[in-house]
Amino acid sequence: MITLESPMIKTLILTIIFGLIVGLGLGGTVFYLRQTQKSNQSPSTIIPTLAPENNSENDLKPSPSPANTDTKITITSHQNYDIVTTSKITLKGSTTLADSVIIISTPVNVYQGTTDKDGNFSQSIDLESGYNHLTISVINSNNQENHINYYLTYSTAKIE
Amino acid sequence: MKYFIFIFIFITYINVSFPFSSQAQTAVPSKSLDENIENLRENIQEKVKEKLSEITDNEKPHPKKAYVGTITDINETELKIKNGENNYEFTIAEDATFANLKLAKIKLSDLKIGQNVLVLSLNKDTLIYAKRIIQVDPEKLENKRLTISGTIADISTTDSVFTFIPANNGGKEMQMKYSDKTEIRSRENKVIKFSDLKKGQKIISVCNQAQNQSYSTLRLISL
Repeated sequence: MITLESPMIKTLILTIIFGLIVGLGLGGTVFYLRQTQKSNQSPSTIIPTLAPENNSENDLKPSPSPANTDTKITITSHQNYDIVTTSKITLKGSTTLADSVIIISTPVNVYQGTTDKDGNFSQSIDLESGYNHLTISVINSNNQENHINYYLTYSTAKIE
Repeated sequence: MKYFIFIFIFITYINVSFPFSSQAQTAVPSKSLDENIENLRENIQEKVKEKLSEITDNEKPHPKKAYVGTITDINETELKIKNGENNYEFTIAEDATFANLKLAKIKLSDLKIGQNVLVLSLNKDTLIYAKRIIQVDPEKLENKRLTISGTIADISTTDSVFTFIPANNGGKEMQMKYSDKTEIRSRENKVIKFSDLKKGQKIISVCNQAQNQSYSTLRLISL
């Protein structure tokens, strides 16, 4: 008859206990390692970060390059030769010359503004009735400059 | 003995595989992670779509445009004008109106080749309709103002005149007049006095084209 005190049962119990200890030890170690690896990977997976804007210190300062380098003025609020129905408009745009003075000359007035560190500008201007030849100039203190002509027509005539 | 070894391996295997089975049971967080990624992807797609539509809308030509030019050809249905190197062709709209230099109404038959006109047009159904044609004097439409950057070379002590060296004109000096009407501003558009400007100072001059070799300044901006 097999009793608790029989050597076979004792060996069996010892085997189970030893198996539990070894198994739990190995399992625990593997679980810990996997959790550690997962927590290291998770931030780059869950939170994709956008590339930083181009606002390094070098970009904020005017370029020391000589005058007459290629610069560009882009008007985003209107298109060339547009007909507008209000005399007061806000001309918005951007230029490759950051931190510069922008001068918009209409047939009657001169408007002055500045571009921001990214080269964006926004200037409210009054148009004359009819055809308006605008000259838009961007100049910085390094004598870098650019000029464009823009033509807008202010008319309240129904064009449909 | 074989029996004990089998039991040992079996118990060890159960214990080792326990953490993996517990991970499988806790699959909910990874599901929410997938949802987050999917939401993020959708948001990015929406933003990209918005930006693309902004760009394409801006590039799409606006339908209402106005052009100045000299009539090169005209008949009852078509009008051709030329401005420099640019040629424009229009279909004259049935309800088109016509005006002379004084904005008085005229007829289509009053318009002749060689006349200068302003054409208010509408782009519709792949055709560009001339809706309003007005005779103009192109000389009066031209903006003759100059915006020049440079340095003050000298300031007259007797007259309201100063000598100006443009930055981009090969060092050729220009004589500039100023008056009480000349607006003098700082870079930040604050009103300053002419006496604040000094010899050697960088400025921007907005001026009318030269008369008697002298440019009359409308605005001076200190840089």
